[in-house]
Amino acid sequence: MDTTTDPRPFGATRVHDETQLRPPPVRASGALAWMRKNLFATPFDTIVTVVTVGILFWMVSGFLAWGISQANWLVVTRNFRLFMAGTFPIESMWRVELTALLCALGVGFSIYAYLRLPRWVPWVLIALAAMLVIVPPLLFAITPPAPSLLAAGDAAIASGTVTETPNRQLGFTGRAGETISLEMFTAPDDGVLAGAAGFSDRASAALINGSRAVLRAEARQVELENQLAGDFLTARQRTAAGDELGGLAIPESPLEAYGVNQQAVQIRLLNPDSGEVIAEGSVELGGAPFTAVLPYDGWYILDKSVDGGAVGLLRTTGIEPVIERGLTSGLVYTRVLDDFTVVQPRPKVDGKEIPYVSLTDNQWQGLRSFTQYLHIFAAPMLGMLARGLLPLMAVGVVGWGLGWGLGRIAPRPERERSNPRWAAQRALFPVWVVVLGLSSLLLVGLSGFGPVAVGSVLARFVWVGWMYFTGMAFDRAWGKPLFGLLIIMALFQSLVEGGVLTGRLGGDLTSLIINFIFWLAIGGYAARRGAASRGLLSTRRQVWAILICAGLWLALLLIPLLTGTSGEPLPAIDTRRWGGLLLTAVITVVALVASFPIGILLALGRRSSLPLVRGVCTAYIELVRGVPLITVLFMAMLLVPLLNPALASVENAFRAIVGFTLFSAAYLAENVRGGLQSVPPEQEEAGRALGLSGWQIIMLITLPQALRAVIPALVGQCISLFKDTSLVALVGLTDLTGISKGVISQAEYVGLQTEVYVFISVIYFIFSYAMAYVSRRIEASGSGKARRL
Amino acid sequence: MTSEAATSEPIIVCKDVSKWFGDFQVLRDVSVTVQPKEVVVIIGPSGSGKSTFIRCINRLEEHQEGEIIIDDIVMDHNVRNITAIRREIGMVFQSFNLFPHLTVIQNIMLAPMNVRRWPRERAEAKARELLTRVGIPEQADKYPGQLSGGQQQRVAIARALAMEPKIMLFDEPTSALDPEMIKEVLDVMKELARSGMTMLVVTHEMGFASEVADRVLFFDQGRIVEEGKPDVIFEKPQHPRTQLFLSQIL
Repeated sequence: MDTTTDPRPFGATRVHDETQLRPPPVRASGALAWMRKNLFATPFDTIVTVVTVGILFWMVSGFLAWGISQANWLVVTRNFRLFMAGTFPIESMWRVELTALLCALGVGFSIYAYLRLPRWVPWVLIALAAMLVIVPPLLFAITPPAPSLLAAGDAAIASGTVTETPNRQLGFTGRAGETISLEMFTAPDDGVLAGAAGFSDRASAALINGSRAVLRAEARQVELENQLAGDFLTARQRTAAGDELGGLAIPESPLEAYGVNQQAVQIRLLNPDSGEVIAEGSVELGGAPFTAVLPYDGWYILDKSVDGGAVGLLRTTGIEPVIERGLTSGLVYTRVLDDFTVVQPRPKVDGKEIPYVSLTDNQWQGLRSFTQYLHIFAAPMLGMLARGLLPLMAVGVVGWGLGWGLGRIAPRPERERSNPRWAAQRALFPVWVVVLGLSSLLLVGLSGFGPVAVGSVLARFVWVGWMYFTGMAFDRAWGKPLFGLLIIMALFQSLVEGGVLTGRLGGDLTSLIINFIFWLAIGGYAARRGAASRGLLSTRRQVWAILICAGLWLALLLIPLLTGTSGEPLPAIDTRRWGGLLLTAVITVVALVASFPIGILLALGRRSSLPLVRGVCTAYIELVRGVPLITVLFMAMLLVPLLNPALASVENAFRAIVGFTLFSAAYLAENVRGGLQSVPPEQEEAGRALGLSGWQIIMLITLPQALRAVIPALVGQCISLFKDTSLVALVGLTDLTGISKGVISQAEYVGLQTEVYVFISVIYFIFSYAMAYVSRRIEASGSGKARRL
Repeated sequence: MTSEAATSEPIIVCKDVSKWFGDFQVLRDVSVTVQPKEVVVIIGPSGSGKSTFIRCINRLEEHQEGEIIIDDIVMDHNVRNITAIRREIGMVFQSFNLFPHLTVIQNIMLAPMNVRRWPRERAEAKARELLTRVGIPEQADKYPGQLSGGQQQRVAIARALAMEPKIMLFDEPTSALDPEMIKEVLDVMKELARSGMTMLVVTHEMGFASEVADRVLFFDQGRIVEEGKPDVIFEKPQHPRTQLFLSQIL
């Protein structure tokens, strides 16, 4: 037996040793290791990396160079209000600002409720706020003011086909205590003069252009001579080059032609009202600069002259361009750097309005240095951002704090013990209803509503909250009588509002009933929600909440009676005055909110088992999807009023909103249908087996899963709707894109469309990216977490 | 069958139930009567119509001929009757069919709150009690995707029980599970059977059938070929088709 060996000597029984659990091995880390692994792993990767970096560098550096040394960002800072709110009446701008603040409040609240912010966010916010506060004045302080070149003398300076004669007298605005100084611009040769930054009046620009022409001609001459000296030209090219060289005339240098800076320049500073001479002096090459301290706020006249027909080129500091604005109260003159505004009319000399240093000279264009960029563009723009963003940021933080505070004071049920954001999450929907309700009230206004009626409408919001707390206390002895009292008060309010509109108590019966039922429905819903959260608040807190609501309600009704009942606190705003980002946002938000339910109903209808419903929904969706959006807009704007004259009175903005809603609903419906198809039929079966009704299955099981499955598509739809609002510019509305067209057609901003379109692109991008970011966070939340495991 | 059960009113009565998928007849005059507290196990080769049959009992499939009466309610086209019947019947599926967008406890509370209109507190108390009963109280706030198959199926059983049904239908509840997890689900089902629930179970777990079932139905080609007490069916099957089937799987 022991002589035969086992032919398959495998599978011996063995117990393996116990091994220790260990942490994973530490891999090489650090920037270098990361780069080696991700950027330079193979020769091909290296090539791709190098090429990509090269392209990026080429694009970014080109853009930065343009943005810093050439672009004229003044068109953005000067027209910021137009970009934000269009031609919204200035006296009512507070309503737009309040709307923005309300929305910031809502956003802050929502962020607390649902977004878990990384730890660095508060620090970044603080740093950003500090930067916005500190940096603009700092930049003004450390960077030298932009010099500006002014020509003096009475020679006619030729520049191309036109000639410019320096203005003897020039108006400018200044503040008491400011110093202006003028000195000769040292220009020993054409090279220096041609390299001067272009902050100049037209005559000095003509001088600079003259020098540049000289340099260009000289360079061409050298080039042609080099070509002729070499031997790689064909005979014909040689002839042509010779001809060109023969015909090439080097223009005379303006320095010599006009005797620039040969003579001293006499300078007088005048008070335009009294004609009194404030300061007098002269400057000459190498001499001391002329300086003067301004005694008052307002217009000054600078009088400069040169003896003997020569031309002087002055470098000035403290004289800055002014732009003229026609506002309702008349013309005002605003200094571009710091918004210093003069309302006195432009001085007249010999019956003619004096020329002033303005932007039409385009002296803010042309080559400039980085420090000049910081002083004239970066600092004012940051200052403008600070004025706009700091209040929004502050209110956003307040909204966040409100959510946090609500989580502290509102007790939560046992099952939510671990979720301090629960109260904020529950309150999110009502908060946004209030924010959007108040916003639309502010933006649209109430025509014919006096203070009493406006107070009454505002009191409705409090009333709804009051109903909520009453619903919570409904099962107490005093709950039901209070409930009845509240309904009587709502009826009373409807009577007052109807009465205000028609001058007769109650107004006309139909609108009275509609008004009453509308608010009763909302209040009833709030009371039901309250009843559902019964037991959340102790009796004492319930009583407090009800008392606070009652107090606010009374205050909103009584204060207008005390302060006076005349006037319209919220006059209706003509929607044609809506514009800019405001109009873009209004169209987007209203169209989105309205198209969501319609889209969902269409999607459900398209899957309905009723052939008629299915047919109508399918036909609608296919019809709308087969028509370009711009056509829908033109139809809404132009054709619909023709079809039915009654629709002609609907305002353009609303027609556009309707067009967007109908269009967007069809696309949303298709997205939602895709989501519905992705929910396995077993889900519906499980719902039926549990005894849920058809609608319950849709609302509780299928639709939530379907919507979650198509969040990326839905957000894509939101983003494209937001961007597509720019099409309303083509039908004559002044949304962000429309107002941009208006801005660049102003004479003083001719040729600055690049700057404007870059700016509005940034705005579109910020909002689109925010939407995409929020969508990614929603996808990852709730059961999305489970899907990722 | 005990004499007590035999004398009580039957809770499920199926008389000559027939159904066709297109021209193919899946159920052929199936007649079954189930007493309260009875545990009936249905076995048979795939395609024999056993799943279709129990799906007819809560109207997930519509039978075309014959009569089904559940707890004295006649199954017809009247939606009110169908809803009333579904409230009395809980069902557990092969693929669990939990709602992935809801947490475990929300899955269980959904039907009691929306069908029975229980207040949240009551539904939640019931759900927690049931989760304890199926042995996973600590998983209440997880999503189904975070649970193992066995745990998901136990949640599905709890979800069905939350409606306090009189009858439970099981459609191959362990077929999608790993062997290690089958036992935890079967233990829950055994406990349920011992507690007196009326159960109809389609399964291939013969051990479970012989231990728990009061009666075994053998389905083939849309009809009941043989029925009887499990020990009789498994030990001495009469019909050659039953003999063949059992010889192949045992």
